[in-house]
Parts: sequence; structure tokens; C-alpha cells
Amino acid sequence: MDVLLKVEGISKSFPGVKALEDVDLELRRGEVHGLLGENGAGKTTLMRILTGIYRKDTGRILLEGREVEITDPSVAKSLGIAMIHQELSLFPNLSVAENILFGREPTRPLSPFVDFAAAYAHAREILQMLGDGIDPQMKVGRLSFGDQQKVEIARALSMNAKILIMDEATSGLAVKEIERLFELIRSLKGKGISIIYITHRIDEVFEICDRVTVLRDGRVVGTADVQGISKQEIIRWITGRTIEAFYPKEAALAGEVVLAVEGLSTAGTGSVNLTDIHFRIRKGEILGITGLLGAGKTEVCKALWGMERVVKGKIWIEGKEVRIRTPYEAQLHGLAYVPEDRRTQGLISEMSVAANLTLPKLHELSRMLFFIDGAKEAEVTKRWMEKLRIAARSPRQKVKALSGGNQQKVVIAKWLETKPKVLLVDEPTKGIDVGAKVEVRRLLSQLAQEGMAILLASSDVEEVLSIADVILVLHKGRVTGRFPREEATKDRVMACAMGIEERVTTL
Amino acid sequence: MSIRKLASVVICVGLFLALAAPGSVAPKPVKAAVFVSSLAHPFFVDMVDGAKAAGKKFAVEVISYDARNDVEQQTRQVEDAIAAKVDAILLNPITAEGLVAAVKKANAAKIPVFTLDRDVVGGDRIAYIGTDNVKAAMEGAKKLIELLQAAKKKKPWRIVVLEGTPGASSAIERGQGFKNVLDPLKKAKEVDIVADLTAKFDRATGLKVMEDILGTTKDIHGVIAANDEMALGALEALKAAGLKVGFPDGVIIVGFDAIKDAVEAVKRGEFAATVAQAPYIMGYWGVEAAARHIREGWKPPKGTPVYKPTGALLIGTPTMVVTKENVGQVDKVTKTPPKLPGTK
Amino acid sequence: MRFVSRGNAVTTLGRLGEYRELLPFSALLFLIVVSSILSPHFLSATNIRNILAQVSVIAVLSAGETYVILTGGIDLSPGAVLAFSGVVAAGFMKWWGVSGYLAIGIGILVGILCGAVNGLLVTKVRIPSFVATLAMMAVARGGALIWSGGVPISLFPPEFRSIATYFGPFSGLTFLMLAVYIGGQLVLSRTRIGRYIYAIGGNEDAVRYSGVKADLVKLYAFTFSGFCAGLGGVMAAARLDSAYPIAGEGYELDAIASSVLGGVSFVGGIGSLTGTFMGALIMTILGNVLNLLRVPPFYQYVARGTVLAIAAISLSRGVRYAK
Repeated sequence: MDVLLKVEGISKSFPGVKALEDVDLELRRGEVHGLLGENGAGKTTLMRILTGIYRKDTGRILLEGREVEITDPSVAKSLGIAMIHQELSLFPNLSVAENILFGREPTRPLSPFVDFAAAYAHAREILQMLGDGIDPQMKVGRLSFGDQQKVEIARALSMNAKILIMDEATSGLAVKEIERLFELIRSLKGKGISIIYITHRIDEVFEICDRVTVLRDGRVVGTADVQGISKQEIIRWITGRTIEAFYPKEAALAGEVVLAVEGLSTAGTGSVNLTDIHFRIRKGEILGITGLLGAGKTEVCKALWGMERVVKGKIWIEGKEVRIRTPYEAQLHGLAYVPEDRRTQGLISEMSVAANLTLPKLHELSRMLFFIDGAKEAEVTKRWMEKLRIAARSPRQKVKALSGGNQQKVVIAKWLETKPKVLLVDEPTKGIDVGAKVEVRRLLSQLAQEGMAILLASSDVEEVLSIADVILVLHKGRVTGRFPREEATKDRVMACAMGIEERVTTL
Repeated sequence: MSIRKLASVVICVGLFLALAAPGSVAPKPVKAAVFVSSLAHPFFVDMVDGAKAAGKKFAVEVISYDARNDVEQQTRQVEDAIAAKVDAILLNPITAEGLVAAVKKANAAKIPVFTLDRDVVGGDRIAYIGTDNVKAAMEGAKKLIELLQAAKKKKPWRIVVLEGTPGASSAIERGQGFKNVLDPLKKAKEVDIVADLTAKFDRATGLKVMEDILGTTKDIHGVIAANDEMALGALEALKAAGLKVGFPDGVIIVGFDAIKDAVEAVKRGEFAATVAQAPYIMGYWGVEAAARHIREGWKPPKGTPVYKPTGALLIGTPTMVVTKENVGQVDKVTKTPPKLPGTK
Repeated sequence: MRFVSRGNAVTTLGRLGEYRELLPFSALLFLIVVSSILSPHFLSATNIRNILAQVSVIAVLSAGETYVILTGGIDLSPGAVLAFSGVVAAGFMKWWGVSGYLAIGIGILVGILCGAVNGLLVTKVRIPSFVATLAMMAVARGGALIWSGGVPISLFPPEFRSIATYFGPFSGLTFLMLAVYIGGQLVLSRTRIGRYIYAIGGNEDAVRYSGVKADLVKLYAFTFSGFCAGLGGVMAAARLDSAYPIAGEGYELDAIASSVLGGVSFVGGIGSLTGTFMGALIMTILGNVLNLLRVPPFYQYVARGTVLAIAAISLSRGVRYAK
């Protein structure tokens, strides 16, 4: 295989930070090249240099053996380098064809109007290349996340992209959609298109990539063929130390029931309504809820958190029936909720670690219920920073400057400070790096051992399998599987998640 | 011929004579519509009152419309009146530009249009009846000079001029009137203009601008403002700065419009003078002119000045310089219509 | 990413960038220096006294506006509410012989009620603040016209006017303004409500997810803005010895401009009353010095616009660097 893109000795500094130092990268034609590293390792900076958003300080970029200067995004486009973003950059209110051909809409000669027939035909042609029957006239907002991603890939292909950069391409996808994406990647590969595949999920590397390069602290740790490297070794490259990715939780001491939910049904604003959900969580127990995207995991949390309209069902906390209509009431009853999207729901990024951490319990840190006791606030924050090893310069540092893992720890700490009886955690390890994932999982296990009841909603089946005591599988808002930990296997859980099987053992 | 027949002939002849004779007991009935910008302002209430009084006197049915400062509303009202076939339109337009279309519609329907207080920039008007702002401002300025003279202030007299909202026609005309009087005296070194600034016809701004001026000098003999609001604001600033106000030993203040607060200030001696307009007479003359135009073909007499900004013939209504001496007669003077120009 | 150890220079500069008030402060300082060079009267005791009295009403309105903008909203009603509360207080004194002090309370109460209605429209009826306060602007202006019959109400009892008299070198209005600013800033930086206000402006969803009653906080911000407008109305009436229904037209824009010049971010969550105060001073001093210099009216518009544009450009530059 010949080399399509060669990056040699690239360095890049920002004021006070050396983001990349002497980085080499080689991309062959028709190769899927995994790019791994913790958040802040320099992956994003490197990709921004390749797509013309940043200028490199030193080093060379060779495309098909010819040196190129990628001075701005339009140059990258004309060279055939395209990025598929983690957050898709599509217009949901426009049609598939309009999105694919945005800015290059076909017109008839001498006519100012878009030739829609030609546009649809052209879009259909490209979509067929992807082997999929997406309707070019459909509004993008009505497509599933996986199909939207396809539209974005189609857009890149329509601009004759030779190199696709995919950033966390599977993060919003359900299992089945991931399968379809991988098929698509393989077929693109067959057409001679090279892919730089950025991910946090090491399993995916072995499934789809040919070679892998790991970055740490702005330097290349190494590049290897995936056949010639083990999972453990990659993790060591990424973190610089040897760690076990999953910490199996110690068996729980069966305590009394803290949270009981019976016949819960919602008619909410979410994409799916829950029907007749039953479960209990005991003291010291982790209940794992999993399922595909849109199965209702988040809705269960939100219903308990007073943010979904509950039409039926009862909730008991420590044997007392409660009604929860707002988050305020929920936290009064001793619940705590670490939401799915920490950036938009969990944190105020312009505010300090301390301010974020103390938000739910501010009244307890105030004198005369009014003036905030700054010293006490700093003390509480420092305590949690030590306990959860939150890497922040000081309690006054803004959370937007922290890595994803540390941000997630801030969100968890802010709820632990309320000393909840039940902790609801929704996708706690989504989009954070391997090291932090491990730490978060270990923390959840530890909390359970200390006697907390935890509800863990996660689409990462392995995560649920490794730390949950009881596993609840949802499919379209209904419970399709309930396993004690010993009986759960990945295959069984997946079968229930896809609605192929139903398997509900008694409580 | 029987007595009965004779009687009927006499009655018929009498009736015929009565109908034919001009100015006799039963004149041709006239319907006039008066459109004012906003009855929330007492100025326009007076205007409508004047129109109604003239209606009684000249046997004209007066219908009044209040547009609440809404140009579209006023346009609709004019259209309605045209549809109702009124004989004359007396329009106090909200804006000079916005009502041109309405006036043109009236022209097309051959209904005579008179503008009151404010003119429009297009369409045909028989006459524009309102205050001649230049002339009135000159009277105010002359009064200021007269009082400065009488108070025996040391020359050159140091005067502050407060102008209205830049660009507004009344601000331009009143400013011009002040200039007409003050400029020659300035050249003769009898008057020194300490400041000539805008306070946008607003009382709070008048206060602020006067404060700013007082920050640079307290040696001021007179203040003349293009409306009373600004003059009242200036009055507060002068009092707060500890300056004496009033004729003859204090700062002599001359306002414009004779609003209630200003008339009170004149009574207290804090204002030396203010120029009163006569909206009542505008309304009165409007109806009178309309009635005479329809019945006798009245037109503005030869020599009526042209109002330059719009090209209409301006029938200037009387103004009155209100001072402590004549303040009791304001109502009487501004509500007693003199003879309409061009009538005997 | 690693931090290169090159002494503390970088971090110190970075820290300075976090003080958003630095830029309005420099702009203000620059304006003061230029003004005092251009006009010998600028730094005179009388003129300083004047500026501190002149800025008071706009500054008080701006304080309320800043609270609302910090929550991510906007309040277009302060100018109209100022007129409404002014004429209502005046009416009570003139027509029903209510004492001056009580009238001050009544005026402020009118403001508080208008602000609370704004807040309820935004939080309970869920109308965007731009629309809700635009409606309030029209209703309050109409209310002022109806109440007063369209004419000014003037000549108030001495105790009402006392808030605008001079105590030593300073106007009572200056003291009221300082009280609002000191109290307001204390609440913002030291209390729970202040913290919640910033948090809502930063990310309202996160605040709701945190189990905080965000609606109550927003209601508080709008009510405070109404309180400021009511107080402003009383202050303006006392200063002029007259309340008139068309008072305060366009003041809402001055209040918004003061906040933005003072470094308050339009998206919410960033800014302070200290900054807003400097923004209000910049606006006032600009008007003052143009009058001191006797700049003719037409040119004043151009001068004012130019200086504001330059200030805004330099401010937004600074903000970008600070990020």
C-alpha cells in the first residue's frame, strides 16, 4: 500500500502550552488508522492542523509525496481532507440533498434558482455509493443519528474527499448502527479512501482499524499494526501506566430497599414513553439500566428526577411513598442525578469548580441562609478535589478548562456533597478518556460498598456488566430483560436490548 | 283671488327669498371633519373646542376624530370621512409625510383640505392654519431683550439658547426666530451667546444640559428655550446651583408654549415670559375658513406668506407673550378669535 | 496539554484577562484624561458633582438591567416603568395629599409590581423576556399617560424633593445610586441569589438539573429591575420637581448600553455591577463633555456614536483575548 499522507515533525504551541511536539504520522491509501490518546493528548490539535483550522509552527505535511501548506479550511477541502465531527454540523431544517450539496447547489445555466431535480439525483447517486436508501428529500432532522452521520459522510464524499477524519464516530450510535457504520467504513476502504479514526473505545480499534497511533502529552508514543499489539499494551501507551480497564464490583451486602418503583409510565416530551417499569434498588446495590439509543434509560432517570410527566406508577423511598414533580422535590427526597450530557445539563462552564460543586447545597454553606461562606465553600471543594483526585489548579479555576473526566468528577462530587440516598448516574463515562473511565467506575463501586444505592444508566453494555449487581434491559420504553449479575452475558443482554428476546426474572 | 291663495303666494315668495339670500337665517348646511393627532394632549383638546365653537357660530356640523398618534389610524379616519361625504377636511397631521396619501385622496374626491398646526408636504391644501413659529420665536426673543434692557443688566448680555430636537421643523423654525433677533445684537457685541445646545424638547435633558453649562460658567443673564419643558428643566438646574431667577435681579428665563407648569412659573415670577400659542383659534379659524370657502369661495388673501418647507399658504394664528402682568388674560386672549384674514 | 514553565508571566497576564472590569475601567480612565485635557472645567468640583447627580438615574436603571441580562434575559421596560411610577407617586402627592415619603414608597412599589409581572410572564407564562418586557413597556407608558392625563404633574412637597437635595458636596441621588450599587454588587458576589443569577446565565438547564428553583431566581432578577425602575422614577421626579408621562423614553437603551459597555455579556452569566457603573459613567461623561465643549447638536450625534462604537470594538476585542 502506498503512502497517501505523511506528517513529519509537526509542533504547535499555544501561549503557555506546548500542544504538539515533533509529531510524525503516516496514512496509507485505503487504510483505517486509529488515533488514540487521552483528552488533551493533542489529537484534536493535530486534526485541526490537517483541516486548516490551526497553522502548524514547524514540520511538513506531504500529500501523495508533494509538500502542501494547509492555510485554511478551504485548502483542506480542495486537497480532499474532510472531517466528520462528533457533533454533526448539519442543518436539521434542510433536506438531505440540500445538506450534502450545501454551498454547491446545482443550477441551470443562467438561472438563479436551485435545480432541485438535479440536486436530488446527484445526492441519490452519492448515497447509493454508501449502499443505503436514505431519501434525499427527507429533512435531516427527522433522520436517526446514524443516518445523519451518513449524510455528513456523503457530503464529504461529494467533495471528492480522499481522507476522512472521524472523531468519536460511534459515540451517539446504537449497537446496530455501529455495525452498519463499520460496514460502511470497510466499503470506503475498498474504494481507496483513507480514514483517520479517533476514538476512546479500544475495542473498536481492534474491530475496524489496520494500524493505530497513540498520542500522549503532545508526542507520538508509537504506531503499530493492530495484529501485533494487545489491548493492555495500547492502554499502557495511552495512560503511561498499566491499569485494568474494568473493575468488577465486589458482591454487595444485600441491604434494605432504598428505592422502589412500581408500574411507572410516562407521557413526556422525550422520544420514548415508559410503560410499566418496575424495579428496586437496595442499599449498597448498583442497578444497571441498559438498552439501545432511545430505549428509555434517560427517561427513567428523568422521571425519578421530576423532569418527565409521570402518568402512572408509584415511587417509594425508604419505604415511604413520594411524589416527585420537580428536581427540587427530588433532591429533597434524597435523590441525586448526574445527567447524561455534562456540558449542557451538568455544568456551568464559565463558573469555577467551587461554584459548580456547591450549587445544589449552597444554602448549607450560607450564613443567615443568604451570604455564602467563602471559606467553607473552598474547604468543601478542596476536600472533594482530594477525594476524587480532581485535577484542577484551584477551587477557583473555571470548569471549562478541565478535561472531560475531571469535569465529570466535579458533577459527581456536587451530588455526593448532598449525601444522597440514591444516586442516579446517566452515561457517566461517555466521552471521557480511558483513565478517567476507570476512575469513575471504581468510584461508583466504592460508593456502593459504602452503602449507597446507585442507578447506573449506560449504553455501554460492558460497563454495566462489570459493575452492576442487577441489570435491567429496556427496549422501546419497556423492560425486556432483568438479570442478576451472575446470569448476565453480553449476548443475552444484547438480545433483550434489541427486543429479540424477553427475559425477566423475578425481583 | 282668495285670501288663501294670496297667503300661499306670499309664503312661497318669502321662502324663495329666504333660501336665496346669502347669510340669512338658513344657510347651506356644511359638514366638516376635524382630525387631531392625540386628544391626550390638552393642546388638541383646545383645538377641537375651538372648532366646535365655530361650528355653532357658522352652522357647521363638526365631526372630530382622535388618531392617538397612529398615522395609519389617521389615514383610515380620513378615508372614512371621504366615504361619508364630508364637505371639508381639517387635518392636524401626525407627520408631514405620512398623511400625504390621505390628502391626495381628499383632493381626488374634490373635498377641500385645510391643515391645522402642522402641514403636510404634498397634495393640495387651501390653507395651513397654525402658529408662525419664526415670528412667535422672534417675539419671545424680543421680550427677553426688552426685559434685559429693563433690568439694566451689564452689556454684553450673556444668553443661553436651548434648542429643540435637531431636525424637527418646530425646532428649526423657533431656532431661526431666535437667531433673527439675537444675531444682529451679537454682531453689535451687545449679546454674548454662552451656549447654543439642544435639549431635545425634554425636561430631564434640559436640566442636564443646563447643569453642564453651569459647570463652565455661572455668569448668565438670560435663558431662552424652544419649549417650556426644556426651560423648566433649566430652571431646576439654575435653582439647584443657587442662582437667583426672575425679573429683574435674577436670570431671565423665556419659554415657549405656555404649558400649565410654565404659566405657574410665570405667576411665581420664576419665568420672565413664555410664548402662548392659540390652538383654540386654529380650530375656530379652520371651521370658519371651511364654511366661508364653501359658501363664499373664501381663499387666503393676497399677501399671505408662503410656508417655505411645504409651500402652503400660512394663515398665522395669533400668539401672546405671557408675562406676570398679563398672565391672567391668557385664556381670554388665546380663546378670543380675531377676524379671519380675508374677511370683512 | 502541558504548561511550559516560563516564569509566571503568562499566568499573570491570563489572570488579568479574567478581570473584565479592567477594560471598561481603562476606557473610562482614557475618557476622563482626554476630557480634562479638552475642557478645563471638566474636573471642577461643580462639574464632578453634576456628573454624579446626572448619572444617578441611568445608573440605577442599568443596575436592574444588569441583573436581568446576567440571567440571560433582557428588560425593555425600565424607561416606561420609570415614567409610570413617577406619575403615580406624583399623583398621590398632588391629588390625595399623601406625604412625600409615603409617595416615594408608592412609586417604588409600582416599579416592583411591574417588574414582578415581567418576571411572572417570563417564568410562568414562558414568554421570551424580549416580548414580555416589550409589552410591559407599552402598557406602562400607556398607564403613565392615562394616570396623568398626558400632562406633567409638578411641584412636590419638600420631603419628596429631599432625596434630590445636596448633602455637602453630593446630591442625595448620588447616595441612593451608591446604595443600590453597593447592595446590588454584594448580593451578586456574596450571596446565594447572586450565585444562582450567574449560574442561570451560564447554563439555565444545568441549574434546573441541580434542583434549584431557577424560576424564583429569574423572578427576583426582573423584580429587582422593576424596583430599580421605580426608584429611578421617584429620583427623576424629585430631581425635576415634576413627573411627566413621556419621561425616560429611550432610557432602556441607555441602560442596556451601560451594561454592555461595562463588560456584561449579552448571553448572560458574565459581568458585574462594578463594570456597569463604569459603563453608565462613560455614557454620562460623554454627554457632559460634549456640552462643556459646546459641540453643536448635529455633531454631538456623530461624536457620541463614534466613541461608543470605538469603546464597543475595543471591549469585544478584549473579551476575545480573555477567552
